[in-house]
Amino acid sequence: MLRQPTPKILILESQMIIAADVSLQLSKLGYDVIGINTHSGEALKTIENNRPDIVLINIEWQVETEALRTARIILETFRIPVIFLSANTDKELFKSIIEARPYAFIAKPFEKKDLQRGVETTLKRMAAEGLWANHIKLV
Amino acid sequence: MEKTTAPKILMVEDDMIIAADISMQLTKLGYEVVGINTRGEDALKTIENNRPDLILMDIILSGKMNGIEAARIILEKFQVPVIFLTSNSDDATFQQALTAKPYAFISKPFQKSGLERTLQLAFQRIAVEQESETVNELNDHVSAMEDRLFIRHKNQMVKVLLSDILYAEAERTYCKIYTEKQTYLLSVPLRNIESQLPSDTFVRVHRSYVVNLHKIDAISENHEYLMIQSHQVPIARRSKEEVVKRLKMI
Repeated sequence: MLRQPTPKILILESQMIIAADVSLQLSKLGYDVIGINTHSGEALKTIENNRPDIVLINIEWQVETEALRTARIILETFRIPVIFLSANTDKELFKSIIEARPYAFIAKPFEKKDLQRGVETTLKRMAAEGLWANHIKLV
Repeated sequence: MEKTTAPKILMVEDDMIIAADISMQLTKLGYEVVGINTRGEDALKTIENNRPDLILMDIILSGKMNGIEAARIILEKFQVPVIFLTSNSDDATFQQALTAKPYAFISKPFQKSGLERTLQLAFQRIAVEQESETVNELNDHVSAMEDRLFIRHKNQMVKVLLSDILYAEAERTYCKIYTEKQTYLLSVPLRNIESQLPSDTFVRVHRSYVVNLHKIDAISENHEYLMIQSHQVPIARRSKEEVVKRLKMI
């Protein structure tokens, strides 16, 4: 058995205070937070240069359509799993979120364990889909 | 993909009042609840007879088995996706629950909107995985890199050097790759493999065979078959000329 490396996570969030809090919680849970980005252009550059395993996106990060567009690029072009965070409970918005095919959705406010569940179930799905195992094997 | 029937959900929960409440909510959301079991043992029987699309599993159950144990058996035997319902969750329980590879966790007490979202997301992921499984079978079992192929073998991508390949044989929709040491069975058609192999070394000698020219040890007098080590490979009539020509070139 190969030892699993620590999953690298990128956070896309406009409010630094929230992002820092999320990042702290993720670090405590043993994940490697590779950065926090507040603009979509920067985010894609970060991803190109230092490929994360998972991207956490707060849907309120940008205008919703912009956040969803970036999420689709990350999911479809980079093939990196996305987890959405949102305080918005609007049904239509959730429909668009689902259509982007994220790996998990975490409703705000959330606790540390909700983050952990979101990330861990995402890693399980990635392993089942060959994203996580291939990553170890081939890179 | 359009669903014609409501997704079928099985509830496994020891508290009948909670179970009834959840199944009412699920029905309102348009899902079909195929049953409620309070014991894991019974749930396994239900699944055997009437396979649901998803299982909502409480971790604490009446009966000998807990929800995690039941979910692990389900993963192994039936591969029906599971979502855990949990009220308390210390870290040890959580780590154990993860081994059953659940699609999500729902904390009790929960709100209807949370239940709805988690289910939507899970069914979306299930659909994506089923789609990509089909695509994987077509493309991802093999990928080429200069002098080697990566072949999906027992859930791993295994490196096979092109110079080690003797020949590839079609077997209906499957394909076998023979190397000196091993044989790999792949669930992709031969033409998918052929397209990954360099045409200067690999030649289609027959509808069902692609051979490595460098590995040919002998060819029969009238060019009906060739020998690669102890394997006899037929040559199609219309390929004879091409094969002989290519052999002379080497």
